[in-house]
Amino acid sequence: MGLSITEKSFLFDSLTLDPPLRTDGRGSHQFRPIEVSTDFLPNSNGSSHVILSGGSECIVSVKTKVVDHTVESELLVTDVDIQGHRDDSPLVTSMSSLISKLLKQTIDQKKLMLTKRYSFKLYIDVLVLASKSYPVSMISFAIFSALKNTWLPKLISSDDDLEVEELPTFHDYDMVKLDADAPLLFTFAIVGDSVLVDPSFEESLVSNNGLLITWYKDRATSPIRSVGLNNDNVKGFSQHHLEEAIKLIHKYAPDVERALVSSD
Amino acid sequence: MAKDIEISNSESKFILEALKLKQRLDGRACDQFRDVEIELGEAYGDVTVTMGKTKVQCRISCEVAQPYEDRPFEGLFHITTETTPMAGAQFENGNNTGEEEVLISRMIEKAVRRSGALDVEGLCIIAGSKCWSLRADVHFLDCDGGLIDASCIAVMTALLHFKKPDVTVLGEKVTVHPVDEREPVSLGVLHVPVCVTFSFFNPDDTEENIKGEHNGEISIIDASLKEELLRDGVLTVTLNKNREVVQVSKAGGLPMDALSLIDCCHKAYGIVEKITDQIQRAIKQDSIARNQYAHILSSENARES
Amino acid sequence: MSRFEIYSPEGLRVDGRRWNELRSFNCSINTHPNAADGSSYLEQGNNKIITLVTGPQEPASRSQVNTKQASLSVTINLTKFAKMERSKSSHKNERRTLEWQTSLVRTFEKNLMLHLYPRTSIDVQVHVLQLDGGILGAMLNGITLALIDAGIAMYDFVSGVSVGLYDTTPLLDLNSLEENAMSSVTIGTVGKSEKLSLLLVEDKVPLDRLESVMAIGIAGTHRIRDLMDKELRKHGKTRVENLTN
Repeated sequence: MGLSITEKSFLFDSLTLDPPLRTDGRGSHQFRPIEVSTDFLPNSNGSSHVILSGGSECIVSVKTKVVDHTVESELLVTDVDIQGHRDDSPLVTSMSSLISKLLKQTIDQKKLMLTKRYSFKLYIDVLVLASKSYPVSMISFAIFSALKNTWLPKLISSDDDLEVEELPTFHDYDMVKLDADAPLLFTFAIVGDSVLVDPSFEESLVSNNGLLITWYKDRATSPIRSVGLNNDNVKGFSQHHLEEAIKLIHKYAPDVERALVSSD
Repeated sequence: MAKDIEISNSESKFILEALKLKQRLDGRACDQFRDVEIELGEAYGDVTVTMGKTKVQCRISCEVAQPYEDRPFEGLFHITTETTPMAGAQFENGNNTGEEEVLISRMIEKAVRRSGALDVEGLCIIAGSKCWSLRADVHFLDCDGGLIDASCIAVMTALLHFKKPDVTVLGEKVTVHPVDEREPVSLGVLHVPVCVTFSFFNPDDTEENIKGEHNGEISIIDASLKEELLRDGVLTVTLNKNREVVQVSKAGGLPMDALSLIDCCHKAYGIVEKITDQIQRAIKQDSIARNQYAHILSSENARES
Repeated sequence: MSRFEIYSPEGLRVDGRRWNELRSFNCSINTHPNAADGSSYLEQGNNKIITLVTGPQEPASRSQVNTKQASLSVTINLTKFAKMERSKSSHKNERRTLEWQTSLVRTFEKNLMLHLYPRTSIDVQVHVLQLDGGILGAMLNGITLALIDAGIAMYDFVSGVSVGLYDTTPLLDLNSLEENAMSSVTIGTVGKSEKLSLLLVEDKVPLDRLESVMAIGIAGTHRIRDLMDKELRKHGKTRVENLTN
């Protein structure tokens, strides 16, 4: 589904006004409504379902397994599956490498350790049911809220088992909340001189460039990268676009984070 | 995808009109299975089954391998089906992911392997480290319908016919005795599943089939290729002589009345009985032929039994 | 199997049901109105399935164009997290999945009025979020609902359920514990008739017991059809109310 040249030019012109006029009446800092539900998969330790109003949808499941970390040092496995794209397509591979790298940097593996020998291994599976716009922001929101709502069994055996051969035992029903912070990723569209958060599908089509900024522990961090939101009319962007985006993120990301935490 | 065979409108109309009058192109009755011809080869486990123009060959081979870690007491058993354009233009070389190919191989797999027709524990040599890996290769030589039925008969006959080399185990040491040194041993076949395929045709329109009361659908046994191409639905029933349903598959197609499906199963049982006897007879004849000097070499006196 | 008794002498099953009782059945349609043309969410026991239908639409490639009727395709996505234990491989190209896909296509081909939509394609995606036995039957129900939501003309509901045979007692709608312990039969019925569109027996069942197994299965599918029908009518009513208000 594309836009005609006239439609594109109209949209481009209205988005480059000051202040920009977006088709859905949003301000440049405003998100479209996001619907988040969590804990709907009893078979998983944590789960979340994120629906963006444009029709994009994403489901994340967090599963855990107890492993011997002296044998298996990799405690995080992420897997991204995007409907309509093959597993080896550039979109899926880039998305899954970006996300797994990011989570490895940000999730403290020490918090997964149960005893001196055993750890929880986290499997984070992402299923994108439908994506109309660049899905990375939605995926990060879904992972964030799934991890915030992940419950792990409570250990009742001793945590020092280097000397004794003992498998960890767990409480029958008491659970502990996983203490993990996941980063949030924000996408911006740069249209002319305007910087717009959460671009819709149509806005992505006319944007000159896209920006991806990570928000973690109350500040914007790396990776910050540019993403091509469409294939034509891609232009470079200047430093003040980046500054503008970072300014926006500092102002509004805490609100987004609060909203996602309180959503359960 | 290889080009499908297409039937001209006039020919398909002729076949369907004839079926309404309970007439088939090859003069068979609707519930008549084609005559099955079982040919046993020189080597153990080499079987060719001919049903009309359909011809399927099955060859069994074995080697010593390591069992799966989670199943240390079981040997390995695989069935591979090979479809080549030799069988017909509808099959593509080296492509086993076509709908039809997948259905055929899954069906044989379910009928023979999953139903436990072969005693896989009997293939174990040393638990956890050595076992026989048995492989049944099914080749479709010529296709005139009924591939599933023919291959199932071929695989089961081949399993009954096959003999694996004898082994002696001394501690961890395994000696495999060549066939010419020591008499090879038969496999443990627990039951003989036989598949019978029914094809359904709808003489009325779809509305009548779904909403109507009179259940006028035509069902025929063991369709030929042309009938297979025209059919609206298919049912494959796998049974054994112990009156056990091993597998039934009606994967979509024309909705059929439950009672008539049960009726099909009962009809199939009669055919299964006949074919099982035929398989057993062929195996027996072969073993007599192989041992034609046994009565001369034997020192026993002939006994009345 | 010492802790679990599949079917107790008092006539109770692992989860406390009687032999002829279905698991809890919840369904809703039009759950993903923006993502697809038709959608449904189905919970049959602990099975959770999302079905999305797109179409009738222009086929992606010329070679898929059928001038006589719409071409129907079904893709099953058995997620890695669907089972209790996370599976390592995605099940996409497994032969079992391919077989299910073919079976589902062939089932619905005969129950949809595909001749009304020539030169188009109708694509069905089934996402299994959680798996707990009798999945093929549940997929039939989910697809039926999503196709109805998409407004594609069909002759009647197709409803599915699995039935097991424990010794001589048929048990309706198996969960995964029961499914692993006994042989099961999957039945797909068209509407309120006794006509079976789908019948799959995957393990040994005595020939003479088949009839009783099928009888309870057909009764089960009729009940599921009623449950789906009730939900659809409820949904239709709220939609009309929203329109008139």
